[in-house]
Amino acid sequence: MRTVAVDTDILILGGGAAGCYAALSAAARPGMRIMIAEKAHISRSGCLAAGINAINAHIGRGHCPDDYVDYAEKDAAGIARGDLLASMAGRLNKTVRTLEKLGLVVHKDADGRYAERGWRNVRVNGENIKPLLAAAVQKRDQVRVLNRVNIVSILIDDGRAIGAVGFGTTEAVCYVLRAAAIICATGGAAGLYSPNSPGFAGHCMWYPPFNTGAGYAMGILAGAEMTTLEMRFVALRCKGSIAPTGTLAQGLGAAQINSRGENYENRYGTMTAQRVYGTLRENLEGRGPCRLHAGNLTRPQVEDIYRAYLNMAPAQTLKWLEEEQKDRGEREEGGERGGWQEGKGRDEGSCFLAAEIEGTEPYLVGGHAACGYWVDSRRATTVPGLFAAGDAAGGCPQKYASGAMAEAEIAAEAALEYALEHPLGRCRALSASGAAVAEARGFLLRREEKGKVPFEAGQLEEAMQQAMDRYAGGISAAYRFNEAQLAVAAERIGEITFLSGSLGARDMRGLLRIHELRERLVVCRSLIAHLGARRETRWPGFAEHTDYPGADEAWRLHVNSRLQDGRIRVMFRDLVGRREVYEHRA
Amino acid sequence: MSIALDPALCSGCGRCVEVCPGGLLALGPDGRARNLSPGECWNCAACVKDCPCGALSLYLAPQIGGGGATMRAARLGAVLRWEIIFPDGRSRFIRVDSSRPDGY
Repeated sequence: MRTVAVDTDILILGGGAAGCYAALSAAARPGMRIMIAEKAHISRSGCLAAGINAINAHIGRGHCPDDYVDYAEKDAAGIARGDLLASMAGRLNKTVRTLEKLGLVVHKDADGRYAERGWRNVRVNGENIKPLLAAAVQKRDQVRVLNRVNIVSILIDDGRAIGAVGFGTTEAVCYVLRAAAIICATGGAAGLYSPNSPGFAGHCMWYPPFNTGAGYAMGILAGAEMTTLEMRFVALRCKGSIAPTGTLAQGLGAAQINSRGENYENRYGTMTAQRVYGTLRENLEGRGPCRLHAGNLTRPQVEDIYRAYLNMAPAQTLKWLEEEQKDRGEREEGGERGGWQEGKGRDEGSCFLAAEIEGTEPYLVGGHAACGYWVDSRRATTVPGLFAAGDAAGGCPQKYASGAMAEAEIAAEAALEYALEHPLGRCRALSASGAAVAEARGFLLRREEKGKVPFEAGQLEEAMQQAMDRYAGGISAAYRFNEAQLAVAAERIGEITFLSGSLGARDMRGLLRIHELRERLVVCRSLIAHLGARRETRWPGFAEHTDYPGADEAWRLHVNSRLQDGRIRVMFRDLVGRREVYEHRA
Repeated sequence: MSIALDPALCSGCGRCVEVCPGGLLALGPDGRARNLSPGECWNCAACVKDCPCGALSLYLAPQIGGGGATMRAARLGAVLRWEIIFPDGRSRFIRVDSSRPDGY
């Protein structure tokens, strides 16, 4: 394996929505060298690979950024950073205008104004949003993109982040990258828990299965303070395709209906976690399956929905089309079924569209929940020189794609300033990368030798997911756990981590799989500690601590943690108001 | 859900290999695309939309209710034309014009 060393000014880990936008923002400063290290290829990597059909974070007419802060704080049951939400919300509309300039087609009304779907949402033709962002990045001479490079470790010298080390995913190359400032934009973590459909369709999930929590794990191992990992995110999705439900719910006013035909959503509330919780309860209490049901539609409206889903989750359109086809077949025999039914809407001649809904496995995702790096108001982590944005950054839920990009711009401005004030002098990058390189060589050398466990990374991944599912509140445990179960989960994760050290990799792809497994295990360990530390149940639907049912006002605080001398130290931090500026204290 | 590949239609351009966010596609010794790990597909359809030959199509796995239909796409300027082929041989087309801001 050959080693390539590269120096840059701003190093961005991950070229998804936040990473690409951070690069574009940083490139506004002439003369700065910017580098993106991306595990896949920036043209379709990250959460926006399939596209989106709406921008979910935008301040509509008659509203102001403070309204958005109110909404996000309420949705997070109070556990969110006011300072972070306010600075993000203040830039949302500018971000959407920038995206429009890059070529994103935003729907307009007859007066040429953005077509709003509720006050926080604008409709877009966003199938190509990621290729548009990638093309804009590739046009900038200052930005160098390293595709197919998996970053595994942040290099620390004298307490400061000075770069990162990574490995090619196809070519046998080790990259030692040095930078004056680093922005972590690696996304959140999927694949910690058994998915809705384990096995062949296991990657048919809401969050990108390729977002494996690398940024969280690298931060944890570098000693960064993390926040609110216990606020997992569970998405309410169309069963099977795991496609979004918002287009039906917000776009068509579809209602959540149980098997008795009752609309149950008002019984539980319409906050994100409450929608999941209601569906869970209805199923547990014997009133499933639950469906999202949009009645009284015209055929052109149904066709519009088919196209809307093709722009972000083509599997759901395919599912409806298959059901429509079956429906036709069975009607000829006198039967009826399927998601779409002609002539079955409320009014004569109308039709309805429905989809069975279910909660997904829990994810860690800082763009929806408040988990991730503990950052100051300018998105600096507690490790000097390391900044965070997007799903990797905590404290700022409900940011979605536009908020992740707004946050990336804030992080890029802070990183630029830091890089100018603290240029990288002589530092020990090569020696700091030694441990990660030696470990990777170990995995590659162990492929045939003695000392290798007779397991594959995929088997240990399944073992990890099952332990988390059963003992740390996964789907099969109805998102519930108690202290005794968390102790079992912690023990199992410890055992699997030990075993993973003796895996062998046949090639660079095998090495990638081992690194992904091991970063998920690091994240699981911290997650379990956080789940146990918050002794209340604040977000039923996302997590239920059965030793402490019910919310407790004493827990209106942030649960944070830091790895210190090999142990996870949990600490508590006060909430930060929207007019405050938060700085890390030495 | 995964990707079906028709090697007879593949020109070996490698575009799908480049865009797959999971790195799940590669060019085989015959110069044609092959799927390294169908079970790891996220169904984002990036490869399907970028394949200039119609060699790639999407299907729903039977575990999540798939009935055997496949879906492929052709790009005609700003229009993405999806073709859905049902197991009985019937097919239908859905055109999505991404340049039209007044609707889908």
